[in-house]
Amino acid sequence: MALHDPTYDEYVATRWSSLYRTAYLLAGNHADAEDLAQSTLVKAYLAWGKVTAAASPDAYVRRILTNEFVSSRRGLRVSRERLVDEAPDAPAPDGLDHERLALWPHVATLPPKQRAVVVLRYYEDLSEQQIADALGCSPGTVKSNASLALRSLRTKISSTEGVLP
Amino acid sequence: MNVEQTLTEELGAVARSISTPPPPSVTALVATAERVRSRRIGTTVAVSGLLAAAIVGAVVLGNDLGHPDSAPPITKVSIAPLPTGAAPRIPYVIGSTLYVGGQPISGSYRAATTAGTTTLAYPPAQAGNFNRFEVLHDGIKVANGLARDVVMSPDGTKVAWAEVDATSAHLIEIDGTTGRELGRLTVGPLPLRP
Repeated sequence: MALHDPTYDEYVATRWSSLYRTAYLLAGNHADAEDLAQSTLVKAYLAWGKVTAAASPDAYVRRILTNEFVSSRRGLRVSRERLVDEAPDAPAPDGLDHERLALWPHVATLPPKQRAVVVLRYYEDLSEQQIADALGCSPGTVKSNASLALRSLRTKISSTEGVLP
Repeated sequence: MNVEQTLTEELGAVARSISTPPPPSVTALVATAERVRSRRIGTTVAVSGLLAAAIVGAVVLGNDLGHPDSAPPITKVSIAPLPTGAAPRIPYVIGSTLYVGGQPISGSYRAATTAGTTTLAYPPAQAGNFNRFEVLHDGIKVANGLARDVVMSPDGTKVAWAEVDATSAHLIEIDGTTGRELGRLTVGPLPLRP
């Protein structure tokens, strides 16, 4: 962060790209990622005093982001999921060869909290304590969610492409 | 290939590859936030109103909720003295107290009759004193006697009764307003009976 507290305008301008990328990894597509990032910034504005007073404004906003993602997915399961005959292909990110991504398509199938743990751990490179702070849970819960996510991903990979070490 | 290593690589690759849209308009974000804030305030006010209504309802219904047999709350009622009229003109007895003109008369009585301003009052029956009576005028005792039957003139100015002793019988008449004896008729000596 800058030496002075950033204004809301400055924060949006400088952190939008980073926030959007994390939102994309959580949501899995551009439309939901944009919604998620924007609703996070709206909530950050409503709590801007707390954001700037926090030891790490980024960590505070990240907490808003992950909570927004987990809670919105909880509602989406009921309100927006559609039953289809075949599972849709996981959307390939721009400019990436879909065939090269072994795990990314399966990350989208993880439960919201496990997916959040995976993104924060392996993309944001946060510690268990930092992830626990972001999700508002204990480090033990983070550890168990990470373990379940990895086990689930290993199972899916082994069933489609063979056993990974 | 390691799952954790692969995850780190793939997530990084995906994040780098996506084209980030331009940041949203801060004005639009702030406007959305203000709408959310207004909605929250409205919801808070509505919830507070409902809560207040529920509390008032509970207070009004009182402890009867869930306790239908409970006693109603004690209500303190301040009653102003009832208006009173003139004292009754007819003497009356409450308990063992005789009231004449609304004023209590000292002594104990069991009944009373009145004519004009004269009252014929009967004290409680006691052994050897069953037929005792008293004559009062305007609440003041003016005579007394011992007789089974006592009569008054309609205006209360005359009171008469008969007394019988061991040897003779007397018919006595007095002035009901003063107690002065007006006449006495004695019959006797009475014949002795076996």
